[in-house]
Amino acid sequence: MPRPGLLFCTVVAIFSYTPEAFAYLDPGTGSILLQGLIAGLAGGLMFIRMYWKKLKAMIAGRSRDETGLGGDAQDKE
Amino acid sequence: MGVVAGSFRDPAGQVYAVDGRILRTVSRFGVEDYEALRSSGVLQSFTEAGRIVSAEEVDKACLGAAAREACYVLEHPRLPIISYPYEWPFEVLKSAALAHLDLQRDALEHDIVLSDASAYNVQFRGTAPLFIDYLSFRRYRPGEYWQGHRQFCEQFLNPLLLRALFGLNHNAWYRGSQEGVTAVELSRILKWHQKLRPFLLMHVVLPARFQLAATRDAGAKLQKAKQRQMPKSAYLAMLGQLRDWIEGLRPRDKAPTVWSHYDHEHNYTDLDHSAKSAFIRNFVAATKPGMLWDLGCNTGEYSELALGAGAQTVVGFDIDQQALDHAYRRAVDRGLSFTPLYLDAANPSPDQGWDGAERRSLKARACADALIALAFVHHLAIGRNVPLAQVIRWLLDLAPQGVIEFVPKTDPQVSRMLALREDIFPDYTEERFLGLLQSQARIVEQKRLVADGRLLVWYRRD
Repeated sequence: MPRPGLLFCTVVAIFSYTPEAFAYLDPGTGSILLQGLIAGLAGGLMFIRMYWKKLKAMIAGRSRDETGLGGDAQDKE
Repeated sequence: MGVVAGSFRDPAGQVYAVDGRILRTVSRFGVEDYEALRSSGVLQSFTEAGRIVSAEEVDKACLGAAAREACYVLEHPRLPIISYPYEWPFEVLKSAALAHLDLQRDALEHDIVLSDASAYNVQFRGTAPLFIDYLSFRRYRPGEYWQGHRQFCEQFLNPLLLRALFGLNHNAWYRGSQEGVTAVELSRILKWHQKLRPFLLMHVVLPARFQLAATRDAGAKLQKAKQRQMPKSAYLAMLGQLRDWIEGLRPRDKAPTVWSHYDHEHNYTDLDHSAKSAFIRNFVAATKPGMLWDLGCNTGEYSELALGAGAQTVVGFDIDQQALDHAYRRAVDRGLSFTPLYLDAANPSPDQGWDGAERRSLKARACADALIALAFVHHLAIGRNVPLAQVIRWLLDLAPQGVIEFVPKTDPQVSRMLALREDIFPDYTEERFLGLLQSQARIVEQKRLVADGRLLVWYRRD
């Protein structure tokens, strides 16, 4: 298992180092890749949220079945 | 008829200056987006709020052959002055950045976006930012990325960060590159702990690293990224977070500069101060300039006075960033039609950009009906070794009338300038100053300030 100090130094070294840039590449590439990351995260978040809602609905549904209460009672919770 | 040289990049249309009118063509490449913008209601609400320049559709015939291919010709009102981001002080650039983000956010609510984020598309009326490019607006495509993000960071965010993080002014760098500061460049000078700050990581460090990594393997990752969809909520969140961050940015340099407290510390007696104010007030009241330039405006004390005396608009120039910060604050707090701009008078903005014509020199944009140059001449004539005759010539070329103050060598400030150097300025005398003025203009009035022997001269070039 890596020591925390070593891990910290590695992270610092990675972020402190900026290599050379080359031509023949759209200058907006970095921004698009960043936004790809953001879009991916946002998409992932929406996916999780959707399943979380489904899960909640499922649990709520089951507990409703157990208590024998209808939808109206749920809304008042 | 002249195509405005800075407007060549956009296939959607061009800008022309014809007999003092500002006309914009909308080509077939831009017509659908323009019509969508017009019918969205966005255009009307933005123009009514004074956030974008107004426009009127006019007869194509007024542009002659140049309008043959155009679908529309629009006429814009002429702005009091065109300024460039490398002439804006920190606060002015910041307000342009916030205005751009607000425009993006509000347009996106109506499914309209800005296709780019050029700082040159923002101009100023007083301190109020005004967006000038109609053809930057286009219809939003669901799921699309913010196309202008890279440009926004380069032209607004990164130059602001130079001063907010390091206390460095953006002006010289910006004027050199013209496109601002790239993420790769800024990333190189960030300290390691700065690179770990979330916003810097997101908008500077990561784009720089991705950009560089893509030089080795762009294809696959880029393809994958392009296939993803950016939810509108994420787009808006990105704009909102950037806005909050930029709003909180402050210059890092806190130590007062020579000029930032000039108002309180200058060495006039109260009597001289009121005599000087009265002289400027009389001059402005008599000449009623639509546009007055205040060279060496400092914190804008005399700009404000001139506005009070009847000048319609004042553009102030100074080299001291902190004095400009104060001037900006004064203009905003008191609602003045006053734009403070950065100027090193010994090195004013040149003609530059593509073919040396894209951005025009300060001299070519000179639009002053009058100027005031108070305690200004000695900074050029003694501080920068510019011969007195050339300083006077330069000032007279900028405006047909004005007030110039002559500060003699016996003045404590000039003595301080000369304290550590040889006095190689035998020509720097009041007699020569007056002689030079009289040979090129008429002296309408002059006033000696008693305590320090300074002389105020009101000239008129006939």
